[in-house]
Amino acid sequence: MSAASSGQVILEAKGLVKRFGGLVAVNQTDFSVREGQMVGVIGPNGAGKSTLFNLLAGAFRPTQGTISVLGHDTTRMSADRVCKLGLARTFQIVRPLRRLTVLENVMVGALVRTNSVHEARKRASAVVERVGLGQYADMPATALSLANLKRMEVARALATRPRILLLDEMMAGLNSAELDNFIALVRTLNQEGLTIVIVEHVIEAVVSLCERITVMSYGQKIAEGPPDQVLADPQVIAAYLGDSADDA
Amino acid sequence: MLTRISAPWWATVALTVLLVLASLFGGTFWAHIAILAFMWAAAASAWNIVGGFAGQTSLGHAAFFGVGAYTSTLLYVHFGISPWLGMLAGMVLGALLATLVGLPTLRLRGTYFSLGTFALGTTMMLVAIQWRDLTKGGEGLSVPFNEGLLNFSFLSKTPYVLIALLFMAISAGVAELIARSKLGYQLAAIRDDQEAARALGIDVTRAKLIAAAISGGLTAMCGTFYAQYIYYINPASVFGSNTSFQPLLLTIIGGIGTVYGPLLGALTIVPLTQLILGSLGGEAAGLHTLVFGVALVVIVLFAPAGLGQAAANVRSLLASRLMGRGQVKPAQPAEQKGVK
Amino acid sequence: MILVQVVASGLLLGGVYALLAVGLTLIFGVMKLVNFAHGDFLMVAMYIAFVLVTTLGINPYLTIPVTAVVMFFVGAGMHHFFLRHTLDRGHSNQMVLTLGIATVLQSLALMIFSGNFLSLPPSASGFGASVVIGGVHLSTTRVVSFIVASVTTGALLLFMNRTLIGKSMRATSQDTMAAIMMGIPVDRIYLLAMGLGTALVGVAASILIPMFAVYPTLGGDLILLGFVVVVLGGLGNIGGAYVGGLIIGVVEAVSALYFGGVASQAIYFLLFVLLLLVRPQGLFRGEAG
Repeated sequence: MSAASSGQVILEAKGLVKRFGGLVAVNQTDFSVREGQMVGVIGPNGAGKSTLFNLLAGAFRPTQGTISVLGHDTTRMSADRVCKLGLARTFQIVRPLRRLTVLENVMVGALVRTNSVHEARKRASAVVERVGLGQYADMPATALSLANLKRMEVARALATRPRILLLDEMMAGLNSAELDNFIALVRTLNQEGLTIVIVEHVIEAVVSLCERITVMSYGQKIAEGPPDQVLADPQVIAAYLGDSADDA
Repeated sequence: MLTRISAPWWATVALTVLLVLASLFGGTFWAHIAILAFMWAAAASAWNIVGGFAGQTSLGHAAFFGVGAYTSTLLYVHFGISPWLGMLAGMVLGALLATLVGLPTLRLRGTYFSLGTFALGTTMMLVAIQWRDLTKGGEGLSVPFNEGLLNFSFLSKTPYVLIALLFMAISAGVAELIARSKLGYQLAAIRDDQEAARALGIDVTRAKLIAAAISGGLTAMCGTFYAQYIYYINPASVFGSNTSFQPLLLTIIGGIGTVYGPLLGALTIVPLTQLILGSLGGEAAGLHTLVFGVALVVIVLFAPAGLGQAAANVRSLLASRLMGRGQVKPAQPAEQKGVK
Repeated sequence: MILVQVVASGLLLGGVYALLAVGLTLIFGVMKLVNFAHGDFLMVAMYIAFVLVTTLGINPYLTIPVTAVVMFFVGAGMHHFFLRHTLDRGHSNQMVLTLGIATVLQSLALMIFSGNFLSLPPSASGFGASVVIGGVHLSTTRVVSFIVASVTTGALLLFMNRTLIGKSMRATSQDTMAAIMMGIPVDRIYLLAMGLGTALVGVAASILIPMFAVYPTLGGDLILLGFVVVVLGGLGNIGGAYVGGLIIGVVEAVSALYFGGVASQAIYFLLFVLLLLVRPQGLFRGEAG
């Protein structure tokens, strides 16, 4: 479990609504995170978790509602400005920059904070080592296994020196050894002070990492609280009935 | 140490040297070939900044080429301003046009962007034909010849060879600087995955616009050179679609997205087509472009990473055969950032 | 009255533009391919029609079956031998390949026929010079071409909507992945789309040759027009391309009336740029984005 945090609220969404044509993906949802927390968002497929994520990261614009990151109103901000403010995210389906090497991928992240390529290379090297990809640094991104691609994606996000990190279904497709490694990495990052929000299907990971879990279903929050409380909630169990998420 | 220079660069440097020597000892025929090759290499390198680095396939770069050619020529004809200054003015205008046009078009998806730029080039040509008061329309403009460095006019071809070579170096040099800089990395990210680039804090529109402005300015520079070498410009020759396609096609043949690619493509194809044109004369009408078209089709089908990568593959294949190594490891795709 | 005359005349020519664009949009819709060689296919077909008429002395409209069939195979052949290999490589690559093929076709035409403008004498069509319909004087060749173009487009629409193959093509156009999973032989659909789209060009060529001259760079001159119409109608939307063609025909004719030759062409290119900025999806939604 991550260290208890009594920090300030650094990410706050109020009354979020997102409509795609006739479909309401997120419906009047509030969401907030304090500095240093590690929280999770779970829910059956189509619950609106990824949409919530994309809204927080600035990839989508909310139909209604407000979002603030580190005290700044980011409701109308584009994803790149949100990133510069200090919120980094990974993608559900990894998005490596295919024609670059691993190191270069991470350098792109590092370049948010510096104009010097030399400086960026140094910082990126350090991050690459940190996540355990040191030996792959000069290989083309396309040569990596899925687990390592996910690591690279985390490294890239870390290189942007975020205060908040959003991890979008990072654990999918990993075998149990890779999963343990990943969980350990994420735990360490949080212990060092990084605020982390995880969207996940792999319940085991969320339970072992998060101090608080938010459950979404059909675009709305149906439960929120410590893991054992949330997972025992009959509404949550009902939402998952028929879903094989707890096989993960 | 020499083995660190990659095969494509070896080829590029070798061709450059050969062309310079040929122009010095081979008479005006070869000088002309060298001049055109270097000029198109410069134009292709400029195009590659937007088309290759940023991955935005522009089909309308003739718009900037023509702006350069007409700006310097008109300033010279009407106000007696030195074509060198006119060139600088043209470059500024080219960069401005690229930014103005880029603002709306760079937001469009690939196909629409390409079609939009294609329309731009054609529109500029039609405007040039229509605006007879300014451009004398389809008749074109003759560029006055007054020999002298300040007038960018020379009797001998040798100064042109050197200037064209200089422009090629400038264009390639700028490309290399960009490739190594923060902008270069940003463009590479944009080219590979725009959304990922945004999530990594890159202001995509701004980066593309900067690339477009630089590309437009450098292309305009080549337009002025053309005017001062050929001494006659008209809408079809400087704004026409051939002028838009040439840098693009040469870059693809050489290796898109690399710094050497546009150079290699121009230095191989331009002399080849000029030789055909020159040796067969009138009978060759169409043959030289046929060779160009066939080369393009062959490259796209069989060596899409360009001649440079093909050369690198051949070299590593030979190297491993000669060394007797058991395993043949193909060379890394040269499109990667950082690999020259 | 002049205006009505001009509009009618433009509308009729628009029918042929429509036919040209319909083939282009079909190919884009099904294969997501921007075919820069489309205009050059028209050029090739017009040369074929020209040669047939001048050597065999037949009526140009009778060449339609020949040009349609020949161009079908040209299109299918281009797909089979060239395009097929680049389908997974991205639009830019394919576009450039078609540019290369376009260059090759133009060069061959130049080498074989030289740069002269070749046209048929007015009597070749076998019709009188003009008809009067509702008090408006219309060139017979234009009327005939409009009818042929419209009937052909109508037939294509019927084919796309009523036959299984046509529906398979539309399915592929909307969602290739889903089509594959439905068991639709997508590679054969592509072949058919290329063939069909190019066959339409063959028809267009036969009806154009009595009215316009053919020359090697004709394709390059017309391709932008083709794209303007395609985007106007919505990429992949056949009905839209037809209407778009008519609109462009009228716009071109009317602006020629008020602004003179070259400006009229500038007008629709400018409209195109505006269109891309304001409504790139076209007047009618493209079937495929």
